[in-house]
Amino acid sequence: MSDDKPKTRRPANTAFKQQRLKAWQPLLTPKSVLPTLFILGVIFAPLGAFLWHTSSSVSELVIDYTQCSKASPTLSAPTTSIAALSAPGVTAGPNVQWKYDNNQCTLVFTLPADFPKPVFLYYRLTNFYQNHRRYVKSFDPSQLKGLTVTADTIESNCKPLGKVPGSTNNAVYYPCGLIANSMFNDTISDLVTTGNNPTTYQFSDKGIAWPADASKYVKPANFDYATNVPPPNWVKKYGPAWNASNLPDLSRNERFQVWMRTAGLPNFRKLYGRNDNADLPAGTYQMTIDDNFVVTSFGGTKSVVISTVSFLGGKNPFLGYAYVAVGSVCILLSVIFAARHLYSPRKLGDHTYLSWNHQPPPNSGNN
Amino acid sequence: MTMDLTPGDIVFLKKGDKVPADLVLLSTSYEDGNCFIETSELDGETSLKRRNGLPATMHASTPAQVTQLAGRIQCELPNENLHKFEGVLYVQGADTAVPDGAHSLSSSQLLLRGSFLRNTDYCYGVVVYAGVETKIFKNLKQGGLKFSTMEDKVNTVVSLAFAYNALMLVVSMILGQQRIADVQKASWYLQAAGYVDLDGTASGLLEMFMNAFILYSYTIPVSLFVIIEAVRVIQRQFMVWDDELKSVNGRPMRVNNSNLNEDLSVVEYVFSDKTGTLTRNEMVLVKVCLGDMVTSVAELLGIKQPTDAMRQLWRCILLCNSAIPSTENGEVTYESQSPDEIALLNGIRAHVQLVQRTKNTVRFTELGVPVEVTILAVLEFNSDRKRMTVVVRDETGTVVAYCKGADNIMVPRLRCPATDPALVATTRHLHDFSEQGLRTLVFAAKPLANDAYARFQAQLDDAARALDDRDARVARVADHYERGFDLLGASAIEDRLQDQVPETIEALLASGIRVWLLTGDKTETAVNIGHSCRLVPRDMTILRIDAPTLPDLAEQMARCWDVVAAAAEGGDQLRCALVVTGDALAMALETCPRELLAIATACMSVICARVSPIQKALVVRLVKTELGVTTLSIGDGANDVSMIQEAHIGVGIEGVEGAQAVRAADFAIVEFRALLRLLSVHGRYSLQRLSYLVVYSFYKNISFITIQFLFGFWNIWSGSTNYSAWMMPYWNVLYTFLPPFLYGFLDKDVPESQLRRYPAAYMSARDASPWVWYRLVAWTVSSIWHTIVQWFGMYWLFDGTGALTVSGFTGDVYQYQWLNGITMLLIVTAKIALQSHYWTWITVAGLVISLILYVLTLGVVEGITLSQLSTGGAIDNIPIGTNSAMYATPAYWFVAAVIPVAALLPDLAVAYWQAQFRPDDATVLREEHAQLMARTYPDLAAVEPGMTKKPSLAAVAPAPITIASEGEALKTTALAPLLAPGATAASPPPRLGARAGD
Repeated sequence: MSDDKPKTRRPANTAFKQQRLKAWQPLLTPKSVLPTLFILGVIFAPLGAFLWHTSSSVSELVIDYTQCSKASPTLSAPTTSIAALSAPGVTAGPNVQWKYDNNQCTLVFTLPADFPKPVFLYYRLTNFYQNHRRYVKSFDPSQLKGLTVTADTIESNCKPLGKVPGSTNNAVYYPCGLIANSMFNDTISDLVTTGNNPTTYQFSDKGIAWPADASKYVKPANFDYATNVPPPNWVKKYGPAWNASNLPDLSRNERFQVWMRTAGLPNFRKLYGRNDNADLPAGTYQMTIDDNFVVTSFGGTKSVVISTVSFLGGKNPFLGYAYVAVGSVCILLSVIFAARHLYSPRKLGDHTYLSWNHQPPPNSGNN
Repeated sequence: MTMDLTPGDIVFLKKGDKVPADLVLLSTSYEDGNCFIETSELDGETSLKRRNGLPATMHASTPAQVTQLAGRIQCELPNENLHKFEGVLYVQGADTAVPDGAHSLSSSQLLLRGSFLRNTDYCYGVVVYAGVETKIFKNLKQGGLKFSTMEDKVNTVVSLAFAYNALMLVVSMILGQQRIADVQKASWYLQAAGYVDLDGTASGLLEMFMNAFILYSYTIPVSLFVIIEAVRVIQRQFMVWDDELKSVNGRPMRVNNSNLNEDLSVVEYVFSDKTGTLTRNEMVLVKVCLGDMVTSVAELLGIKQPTDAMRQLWRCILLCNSAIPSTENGEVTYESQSPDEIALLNGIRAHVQLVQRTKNTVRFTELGVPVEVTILAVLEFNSDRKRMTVVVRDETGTVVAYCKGADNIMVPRLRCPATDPALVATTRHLHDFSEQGLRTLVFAAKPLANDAYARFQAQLDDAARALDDRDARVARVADHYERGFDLLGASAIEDRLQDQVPETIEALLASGIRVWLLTGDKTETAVNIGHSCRLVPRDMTILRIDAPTLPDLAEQMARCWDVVAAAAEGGDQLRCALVVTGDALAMALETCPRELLAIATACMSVICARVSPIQKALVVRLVKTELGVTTLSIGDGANDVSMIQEAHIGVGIEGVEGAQAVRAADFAIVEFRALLRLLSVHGRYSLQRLSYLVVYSFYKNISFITIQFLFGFWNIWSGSTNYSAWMMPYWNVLYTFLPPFLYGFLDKDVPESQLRRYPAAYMSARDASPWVWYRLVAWTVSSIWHTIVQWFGMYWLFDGTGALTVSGFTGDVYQYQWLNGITMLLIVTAKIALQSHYWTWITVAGLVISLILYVLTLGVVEGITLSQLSTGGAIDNIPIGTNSAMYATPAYWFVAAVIPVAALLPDLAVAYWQAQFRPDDATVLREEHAQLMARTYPDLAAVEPGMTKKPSLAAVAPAPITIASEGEALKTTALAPLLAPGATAASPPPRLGARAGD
């Protein structure tokens, strides 16, 4: 061996090559694991309580108006519970009443407490598979960006809503694709107080889309009205053809942009309007919704949501529960392990646990 | 040149040349047509062998004469029998001096390829077998690349993963069809009027299948095989770099086949060659014994005036041999059939040296004075006689018979009674010598009166002229006259072992490995070496199987079996060594291999002597196939190539003898002692690292993609991805590449110092490996749990919930995907962190870099696309604007922290419970190491020392095998003061302190 030979004869000898890198070698011993678990628990459980508290500080009113079309033309209370209100210190319900008239749903509800600004208005859909593979892919970014795109490209990107079927001049939908076509087209009004002196609480449709989204959309400069047709579901609102007056500017239509940003799971909320300037005072309000969007055919629901936010966003008790649960389990485990350790501790490095001290290997008698 | 040879070519060889093909000897530089060859590469024997040319050809000793030879040779078809050759040489009478005719050829005319011409200036030979037809080549087994036994396991796991893949595929297809019917067809937003609806059609089904197929194919970690290869290459480099595996002059070991790294840790049988493997292949005379006086050879130089007794002994050593001296540059060198003779002559050369030996005279110098004596008769040594006698007429005219031989043969032939003080003393010394593993010889002489000599010579000549039974007659005459000798003395020759061979063998045995010695050499030599390398302790009973005939063999084996059975009944470990010789082995292998194996495995050690290369391989094959254990062969010569190839793992020793073994081997080490470290350290680490790397790779991919399966329930099985399309392809190659890869060559489950201290830990390496069903199940359960935690964490966070930011924006599919990716990455990264026992800065860097890479790639993608957008381009489905916003969103940080903790909590709890209450060997050894460290280096705690900037000398000291082999004793002695509760950290740690530095 080269042990006591002069070092100069040894080749470059690094700790890495000799597998002698300095290393931390953690052990799962009571000394290391019990405090770790306990500290985790002590951090997580109170943190969970804090998160839960934060979530419950959010005021939120959800009204499911899916069945509004079955309501009578005069205000009445729905037969089933369609609303949920949660706000700090509030136990009273929103006392929702509704009526349906001329394709319009009117909701009347009471807010027992102020909603501090900013206040957000969402619609919430369930059982709507915005994450379906076919759906997610069905749009054409260039068309939205206002670039010239061939009909064939649109046909392939926006399948199955690219070219207009049966068109003689290769007309395409603008905007094309399943996402755009299925845009949520109920119109939700601002909130108006009921009573003698109605005041309106306005929701702005500006600042509701992710800022980066605006750059994805440009109003086409030289729009060919002959070969671009509104998608089937837009006809009701815009008519069967585009012209200079009805062509929407998608780059300024944030509700469209919000819709185009698809949701990850089949139940989702999308922002419809916001008010950053004024608290929403307690009181009784009326809201009218033009009922266009069909959800019953696929077993979905639609709701409006009025919500405030905390630093964690809207109301979501999940994080609080999760932290409390994990923290509790950590503490529980540390207690169980500590008890087991105190009851029958094991000496570390105890040779009696070595396998060869149970069954001597066949040749051990040789020495 | 060798490749150009064909049968019929005539080859000219000079002294020292290697024989390039199997040749029939024609003529040599000696007039009698003799030459000497050394066959150590073929059978491990270092002694010279004589070969003689036929009278019909031996005259042709110049190129001109040789080229005039004409004739033909008829011989057997090429075969693997090294010791047998039959043929006929027909020489045409071109030269009239030689009559036309047939001459029979035997193995004594055959020069085998791979042997060396020695002691002969030159020779001519004609090629009979060339290339692949040579005998040594026939002894080579077909090599072929060997694969690790882990390969099978990996393949099994791959199949299981495929099955899992297929299961997910089938289930999603079935559920998918149902959901399409129930939900999708009713969802107007997924349809378009006039559009040919693919749903439910064959091509729709195919599209769905392809989507699912592509997604689920992530189950198979395709990069795994690349990682395995890369890890093996680095593991190989570690072996090459390892200073402790280097030779004294810094030559590193070589790894020819790094496929077998991990199998080094599961070896159960080691088959070792002797010459050049265990021994250095050099004999040295260390001591001589004259009556009760023992003189070491080193002292001889100091003795200017040897005693008479000494001079008598020198005479005997000098004359009673067959060595041939040759003088080069004034230095006498000896060549002989027996390496012992050379050792003897070299040992006494300070006083006497041979000068020349002819047929009838020997000239030598005695203390510088030249002497010439006449050789009258020689009674050769053979394995039956075990003695050699030379009758000489010395310079004074006295006739003296000198005799040497093994002690058990010589003592009865002495004149003195057994009680003679000189003999008693000598016998005692002989016993001591052999205790020390030395080879002994006894020397004796007697003067012969002239008439006595005349009678002897006449009888001997008579016997030699006899037509029948000549050998037996000569033997009888010899036996009659080789009696009544006077004891001259005895010698002790050391067949020098390589460095630390006994310690290494002892440690291998203590590791639970069986070591079998397979040698072409003589039985006695083999047993001697077995003693001296502590393979066969001297008090161990030796069972012999050496019967020449089948009935004898059967009887012998039955006897052995009785011994074995008796021991088994008594429940004792059979303290027996089995010695089998080549011929008996050949018969046993053919007729009753299982019985032989049963006896052999019941014995502690096995020695096979006089075995041919192919027999070595057959023995290995027998053990390999019948016992189904992992075997390792180690050797240095061409004669070991077959067994090296036959064994699961072949190890070659880069010795002086050629490179064939090294080329055929999977690992080529520089010395035998390196084997221990190769197995117990490199083997163990390779197994542990690679197998967990493999299991982990499947774990992480199954976790990764099972959640994708769950996602199917929430997207009508449409094949939407749960992760960003921009990260999925890089999951294997970027984000989860480094941690397992680094684990594959950095982790150490047991500190090296502990592995040295407890050789028995070797056997537990395989117990610690994950290839047992319950560990695989545990990994699977862990994987599924992690999937479930992650899925529901994400579901509850995202499904139908409100804003996640203070800006009021709700999460989109990109954030959902991004977050899924990072939490899954955190989970699997935490999992391997929990699995790591040895955290170097590289380990930490690997973990951190993986996470950074994830953040980076998506950040870069987002950045690029944003800039594309701002310059007027359109981009495809890109998660712009939302990913970067996530970093400012507390909710995402909270969820990314809690999901991995919740996922890994059971893993930690189970791991802790196991370590604490059902600790495996590795755990206990780690704990003990930590305790030692804490006491020795209180300030460094768990950090290994030795890695401080200047490693102490102790850090590179060779393995303290002597201590290691006494694991039991160590516990009560060396460790006691350290482990005793009362011991203080201040008390100087005894031997361990210095050693803890490795």
